[in-house]
Amino acid sequence: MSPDVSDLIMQQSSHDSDEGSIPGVLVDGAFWYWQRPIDEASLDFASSLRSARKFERYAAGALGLGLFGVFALGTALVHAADVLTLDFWTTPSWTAAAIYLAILSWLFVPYRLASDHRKYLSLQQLGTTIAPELSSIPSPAAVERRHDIADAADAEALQAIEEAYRLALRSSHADVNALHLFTASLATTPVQILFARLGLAFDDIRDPLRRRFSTVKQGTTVFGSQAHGLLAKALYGAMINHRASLSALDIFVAAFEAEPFLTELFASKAITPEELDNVVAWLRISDDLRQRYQAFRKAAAYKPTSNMNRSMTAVATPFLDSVSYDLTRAAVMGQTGLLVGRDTEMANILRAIEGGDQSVILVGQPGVGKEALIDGLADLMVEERVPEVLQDKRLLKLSVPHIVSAEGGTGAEERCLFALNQVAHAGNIILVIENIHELVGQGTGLDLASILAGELNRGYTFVIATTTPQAYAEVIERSVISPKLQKITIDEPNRNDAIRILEAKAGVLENKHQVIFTYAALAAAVDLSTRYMHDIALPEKALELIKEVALVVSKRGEKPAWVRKEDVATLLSERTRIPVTEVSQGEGEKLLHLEERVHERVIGQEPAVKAVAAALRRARTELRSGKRPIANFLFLGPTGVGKTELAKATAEVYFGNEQAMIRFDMSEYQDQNSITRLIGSNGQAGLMTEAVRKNPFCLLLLDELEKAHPDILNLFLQVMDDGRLTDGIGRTVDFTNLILIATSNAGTQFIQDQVAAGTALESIKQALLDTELRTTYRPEFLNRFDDVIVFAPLTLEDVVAIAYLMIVKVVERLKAKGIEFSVTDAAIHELAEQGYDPKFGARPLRRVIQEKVENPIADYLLKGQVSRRDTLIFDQGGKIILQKAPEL
Amino acid sequence: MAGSCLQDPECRRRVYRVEDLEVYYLHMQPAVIKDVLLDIVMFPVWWYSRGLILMLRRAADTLKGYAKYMAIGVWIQNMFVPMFGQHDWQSRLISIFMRLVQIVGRSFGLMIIAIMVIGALGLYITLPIFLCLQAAYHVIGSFMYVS
Repeated sequence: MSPDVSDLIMQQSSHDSDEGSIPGVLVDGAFWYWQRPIDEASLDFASSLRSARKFERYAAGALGLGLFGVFALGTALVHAADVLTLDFWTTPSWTAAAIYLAILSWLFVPYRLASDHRKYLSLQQLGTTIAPELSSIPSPAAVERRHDIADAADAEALQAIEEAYRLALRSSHADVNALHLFTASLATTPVQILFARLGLAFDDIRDPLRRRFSTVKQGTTVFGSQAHGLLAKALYGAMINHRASLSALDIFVAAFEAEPFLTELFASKAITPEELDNVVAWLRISDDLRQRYQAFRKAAAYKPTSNMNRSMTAVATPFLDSVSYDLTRAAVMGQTGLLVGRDTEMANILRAIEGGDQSVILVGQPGVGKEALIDGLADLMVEERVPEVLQDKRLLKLSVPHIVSAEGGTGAEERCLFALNQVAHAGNIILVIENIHELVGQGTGLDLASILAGELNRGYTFVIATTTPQAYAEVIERSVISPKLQKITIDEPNRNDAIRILEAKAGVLENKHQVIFTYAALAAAVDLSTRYMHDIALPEKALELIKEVALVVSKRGEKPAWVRKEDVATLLSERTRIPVTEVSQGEGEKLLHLEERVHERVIGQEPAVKAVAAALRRARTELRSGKRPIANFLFLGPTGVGKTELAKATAEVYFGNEQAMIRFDMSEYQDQNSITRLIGSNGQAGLMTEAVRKNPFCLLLLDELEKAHPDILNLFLQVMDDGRLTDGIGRTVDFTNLILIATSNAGTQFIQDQVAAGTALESIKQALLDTELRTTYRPEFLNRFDDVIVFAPLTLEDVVAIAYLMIVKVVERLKAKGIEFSVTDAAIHELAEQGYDPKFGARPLRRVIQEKVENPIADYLLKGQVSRRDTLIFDQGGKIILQKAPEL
Repeated sequence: MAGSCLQDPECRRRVYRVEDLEVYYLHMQPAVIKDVLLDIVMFPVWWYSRGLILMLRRAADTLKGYAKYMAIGVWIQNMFVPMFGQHDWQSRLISIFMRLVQIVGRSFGLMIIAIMVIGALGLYITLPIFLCLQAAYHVIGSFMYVS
């Protein structure tokens, strides 16, 4: 019934050659292409063969058991007495035959298992120096060495390929294409993990996929050159990524890349090809880590953990051991994490060590992973995959505090020398000195660095030191030890590398807290920490963040709990008080009605309020540039028209709190020296930089900017342009999350005159920018502002409205004392008229209200004439009517 | 009924998935039976070809691992280097002696391990033959005894 396998191969080949060429991968002189026939008959055959194989295994095992049963029974019933005698084993008997045959049947089981497991060829055993290339051949005879891609595929990949064919067959599609392979791979474990990481469910893509399937050409299903080409691409992907075998994941990726529709489909679910790449890399990294870990454990068994080297030429170092930590031993014990990436840096370190200039210093910001690199070096030393000078050596981390601070700090030099002496004696020790700047210039006159430099000069050992760029510039470069240390700069990893490091570290956290990270969560941890946390570098800050998130999420009690992007954003919001979560429905509503909310506090000034509200909306919906402050405004206008009030209202509306404002009166910064007060100098932090560093999410209000020294204006030029400043300590302070508002009285007279003459605000502004302000500000400075907003002098109606607002505040204060207070409209108009001054805006109004309203009420209160539940009415002419409440 | 299911591919597919045992029973196509028989015949061939190579490789890996663990080469290389950094001539003398003892001891240890590994290999090679011979002896002997 079933066609012969070789016939099928012949058919397949002829089918392919009909189409012109066979797609495949050329590597190391051999051509890999798909040879295994995929059609109904051969799949059925393969399937029954698999069942038969399974049957053989079980049958052999069962036969063995049965025979063993016979032996046991025979022994018990017949040979109980003589089973332990030689006679029994030498005299022919069915019982003895049974045990021999039983063992023979059992030997069949490992045979079956072993020959099943050898199913695929290991791609990793191929020559890795030769890059594979996608190509095609006219016929199998064109190349000498041929391989079947199927031999490199693992069980799940084969299953997916068969399923793809069956899928096409069920729907009577003419050709097995990328869609079929894609859909079939969805049922496999790696792709399901991939979907879970992406936070995507099959249901999300089912309907579009089904609609797409309905457009596929109908006909007799063939597993043809299209499918063969895709599998060649999948194999190519597996090879260049150094996979051991062709997995369902590789097929998934090849299918995804081949079909633009799938890219569109994923994009509609907000998944970019880059994100998909990173998740695929994540799965591969986990795989690699597992392999690496196994290899490492194997190698670790051969590394001595005592302080002796293999040849026993070393010397015991009791003192040194008490002031240091053995990194190689820790690595053997599995206490160091595996290093991910950083290949270039590690190669640099090894090259520096190997090439004469032995001692190295790793210079990098806190958190970039200097320690991880040193741990990685310890791992390599355990595996002995290091230059000869490092082989069979111990890596010891010197504890600087132990040296410096024991016995109240006295005798530090002796201890240091003693430790170094032991290093010299032992001859198998490489020292690691973290934060070596702590050794240099200890202030108390002792300089351990010169001791260390002297010992390094003798050349019996070398050290691996770490420090920060600031400390390197300030301390190390000037010290005697500097020429001995070769500098290796460790930069912050870029976004993708940082994400991959997190991917590698996520597994441990997932196990520990029983949570599962989505890809978006890791990406958000990197993105958000880059944007909002500036004290430490990547990847450390992102790692800290996901550690904390994992803990928080695990407390929710779901099993397993998913860590999503929103969880990371929420945690970061809590820590930094910056709203980084997605704009919610309620908040969207609030943002759309910003103007109304601001107008609850600020009267008039329509254009100013509108400009500010628009800027805030842009910021919250992420439409602004991320490299400048949220908004830069210059408020121009006479005093008392609401410039400061609008700034306060903005702080309250956007940052949730009127206090989220850093205010500097620039009249205090009129001379050139005041610049150092703002940003600090010579190791001292500045007033403004420190305030912004501690509270990066706030409103920075610069009052009376025109009074500041011109150099300070240049400083703000940079802030508005780059969104950052470097302070006196050398730290970069981030200004990208604040709103910068400068107020200025420059041109006030001009504004008042023009408004009085009835000129439109817009033309006043233009005239100001073109002429009036030129004397105070340089044009490029003015250009940096998102908007220069002219505040018109207040009209009497405005002042009336302000009077209402101020009275409301008095009412609220009295309400707290249980006293009702009301003011007639006529009285308010009267107050407004008294408090209105075209020159000073609403400022006199406050004084008027104090004098006319608050003072008399204070008298009432002090005299005890008014008590709880009473009502006070303020009427025209400063009259106050008291209505006593009825007795209780 | 079983026969009709065999003719219908849809039914056959269903059967594969649901009832594996039924498949063995239903679907022993001649080609499959041929393959199974071949598989049984190939058992001894595999045992003494690929299986043997696998075993040899494993034995070599084991021996290599122990050789690395014992590090006899390192001891020979450092034959005249004093132990524990003691450079006076007495220590050197003691050191050379100690190293000799170590090398001999370690070589002996490695030898024992090698013997065990070779023994296991020997068992792998002889066991099936021995089992077959014994089984044949007892079966044939029992037959003769009966007759």
